[in-house]
Amino acid sequence: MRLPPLPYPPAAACVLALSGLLGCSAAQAYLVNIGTGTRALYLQVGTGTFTGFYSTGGTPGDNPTINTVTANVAAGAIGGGAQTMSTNSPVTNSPYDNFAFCTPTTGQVYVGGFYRTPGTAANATLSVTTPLNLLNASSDTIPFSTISWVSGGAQDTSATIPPGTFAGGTTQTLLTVGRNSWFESCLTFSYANAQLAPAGTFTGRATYQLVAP
Amino acid sequence: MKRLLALALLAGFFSGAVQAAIYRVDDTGTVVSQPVTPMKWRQVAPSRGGDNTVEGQLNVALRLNLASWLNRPARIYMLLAPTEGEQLQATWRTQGRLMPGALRSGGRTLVYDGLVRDAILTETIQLNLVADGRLLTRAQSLQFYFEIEVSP
Repeated sequence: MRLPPLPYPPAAACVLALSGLLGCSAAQAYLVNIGTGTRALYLQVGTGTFTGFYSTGGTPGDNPTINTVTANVAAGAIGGGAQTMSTNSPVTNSPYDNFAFCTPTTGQVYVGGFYRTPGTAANATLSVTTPLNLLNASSDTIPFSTISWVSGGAQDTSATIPPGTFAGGTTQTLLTVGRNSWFESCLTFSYANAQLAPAGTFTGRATYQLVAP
Repeated sequence: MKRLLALALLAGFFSGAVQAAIYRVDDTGTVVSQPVTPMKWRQVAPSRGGDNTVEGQLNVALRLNLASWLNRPARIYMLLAPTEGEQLQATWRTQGRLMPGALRSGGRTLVYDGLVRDAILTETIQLNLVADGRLLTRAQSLQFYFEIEVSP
């Protein structure tokens, strides 16, 4: 004689089976194992690479380009006051949604990125590291702290990356980037040009980092 | 006499209020298409609109043993056991033997309503899983199962 399966609760059914009264149903469940969303960190300073636009599912990529900002100070203007620096960054539109955000012809450099993470991990931090000085071929120096920036961008009502001045010889924090958020600013750099300096081309590299815990 | 009448009425009430019985369905032999389903951000980058959805897809080859209820009218439900933390939503498409539908963790959805015609019901469903990626903080094992409701 074949016994019908037991009605709920299944736990009770199995207790009965142990007592030898009825057979325990072979009821099962199928399991679906899922992972979490992957962590991702993206930073673009000047030129970047992406496929599509981020807002429509595009994918960011690596780009080794190092852009420059430059101030050409005529001999007669040395020490004569701040000069806005020009840039070779061509980035006009936000890679987020193709919005015309920066104006490179006025020296604006696009700086943006995002931090993706599941859970409640701490925020990411955007920082910049600079050497103490800019150097020319004769090892003459101009302090990196003579270069500062202002933050802007079309319809950017408040500066995302605050204006500031390179500290020189150290790493300085620029912005706390919240979890699962996007940030972007257009930075315009200027050289203070408040001192006499030897002739030559002075260079130095500012390295931006976005770090997540 | 009044007491006897009351008991008789009470007995009549109980006999008329017998509910359909619910049984858990044996789904031994059901196979999922991948051991771990990755949950991917719907938008790789965070959106200004705050879309933090993660989603994953897989196929499930179902095999439901309905032999005990053959030729009986029945309703079959798919259920998803409660998950930890964030509620997860599942939607699925079918090949037609079961109904497509949607389900939240801790809930159940009707997938079949009619006469049980086969002892073994096989069906392949495409399962789409959606959750808030900010709240899905660790890997989980989702437990789907089936119940059948039949009249006694």
